[in-house]
Amino acid sequence: MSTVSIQPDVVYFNLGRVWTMALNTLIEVTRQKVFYFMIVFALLMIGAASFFSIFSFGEEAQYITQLKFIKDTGLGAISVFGAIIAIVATAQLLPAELENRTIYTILAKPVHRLEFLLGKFVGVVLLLAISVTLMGSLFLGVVFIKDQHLSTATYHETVEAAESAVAGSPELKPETKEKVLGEARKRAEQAAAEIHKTAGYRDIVKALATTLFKLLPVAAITLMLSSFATSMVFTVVMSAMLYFAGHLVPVAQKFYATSKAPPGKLMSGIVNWIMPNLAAFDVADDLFAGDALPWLKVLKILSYGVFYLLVTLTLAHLIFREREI
Amino acid sequence: MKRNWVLIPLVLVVAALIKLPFEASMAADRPHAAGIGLNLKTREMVGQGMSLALLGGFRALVADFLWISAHAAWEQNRWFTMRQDFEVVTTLQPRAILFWDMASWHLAWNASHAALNNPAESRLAVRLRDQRHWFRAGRDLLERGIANNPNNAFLHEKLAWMLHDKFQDLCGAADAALKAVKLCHDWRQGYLQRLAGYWLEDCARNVAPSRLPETYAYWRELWLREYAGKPTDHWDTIDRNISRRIQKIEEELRISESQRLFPKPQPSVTVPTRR
Repeated sequence: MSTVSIQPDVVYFNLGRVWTMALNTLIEVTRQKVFYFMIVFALLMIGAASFFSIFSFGEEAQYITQLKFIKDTGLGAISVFGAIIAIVATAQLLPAELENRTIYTILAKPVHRLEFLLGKFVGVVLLLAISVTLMGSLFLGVVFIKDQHLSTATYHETVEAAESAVAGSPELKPETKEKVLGEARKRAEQAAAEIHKTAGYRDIVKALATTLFKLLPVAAITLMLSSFATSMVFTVVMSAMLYFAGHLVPVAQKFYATSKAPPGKLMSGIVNWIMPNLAAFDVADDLFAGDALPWLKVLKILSYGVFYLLVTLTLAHLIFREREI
Repeated sequence: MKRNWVLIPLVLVVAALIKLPFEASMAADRPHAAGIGLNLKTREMVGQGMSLALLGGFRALVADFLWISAHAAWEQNRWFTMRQDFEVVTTLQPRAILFWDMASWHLAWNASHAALNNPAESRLAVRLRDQRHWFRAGRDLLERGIANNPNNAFLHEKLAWMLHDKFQDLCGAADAALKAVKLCHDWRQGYLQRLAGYWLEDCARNVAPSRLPETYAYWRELWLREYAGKPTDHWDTIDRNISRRIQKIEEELRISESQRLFPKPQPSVTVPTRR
């Protein structure tokens, strides 16, 4: 009689399974109507950004105001709707699996819980990347159209003004007229170049990159909350609260440095030590104010986002692996 | 589950140990990005809804919205509301040059003009006092803008114009224009250089005669650097203007002939012919 030794099947971590689940998650979340509603609303808001530019007053700096309004509105819309998509899409992932009981069939197969969690998260990352790319492309398009319109109008206005001035001065010699017109054309080109510079496409791309990498920790925090929460509403509300708290980290840092009362110092210290500083990702103000922010420094900000992502996903894994389903 | 009681705090502690130096390094990269604190005063000024937007990190959007509100206040001549909106807007986005420039212009030019021509006030003295009040409000705002953006040539130039036009402070205007010249590195530099020179000379001639040597040194240095030896184009009127000013100051300061940029033409020596 022979004995059969039963050895446990060792299932190694597999990125292929993570990718398969990520693609399924992406398909799943893009099937939701709320996603399209958000995207359409965001696109409408970005497209309508030109409308807000009519509120510029003053002649001298009109193009600066117009471009500023468009950029603020566009980036604001991307940030707001990106955050809503990140929170809402992530918050319903695990509860939906539990409610539909699909999680049992998945985890009954040789699939690590970590693979399952990562697959879900990567799916949301893909969704956010697509959303930000879509909104960002339209946003860049709107800025480009406005830039072209303003620079062309400024060029023609400057040259035409010089032409009419020259036409009204018959006493000028032909060579002087030519010099004046040449100078005016040069000035018009400089003004148009100034408008192109104000449009700041590179800065917009940097701001879009930091916005995307701000949304990733937000999605990771939401996933971590949903890894132990039993209600989707709880996850959404808590994630929104933490999103706001994340923007208040600089305030907490200041308070921690100046406060002398132990309870206040402790509270602000906890916020300071635990919460991600989401305000660090808001680089648009600095960039549009003309501060140089080289790509190396932008990469540092992006790596801060990745760092928080890893921390939060580690916590989510630790919680989810112990969860009784 | 028990393992988590150890692991989760451990992860948080390790994360905090990495996070704090990381954030300090990022803050050093962006010294202006410290952000504004949402204190009680700001919250009261922007209202409940916008405080929420501020908490969400949408500072630029709130500032733009209040800018629109200030626009409406301007159209309706509600000057104090406009000023309050400007205060909040510039507090929210202290790096936006446009806001400082336009807001200070509205206060020092438009609001002051409205105060001087206020039909509800018959006493000229009161109207003049109110006008001065708005001048000062504009100047104070612009000076705060400069304190927040000390390296911005445009704001220094705006201050120079304000001091010149509204306060008739010729020397203050000249000093502000000189600061703008030092900070300006674009195509406006030539214009600013001449403006600073004209106003410095105005200051020396009308207020502080002791600054005439400084004016001479400025014009001389500018002439040698920008104009001397270069072909004149259709702007030669500017060249003539500056050269005449330099000649005049050289006369007034009694600069020795050998030191002058424009020495007096020597009288031609005529040799009498012998008969």
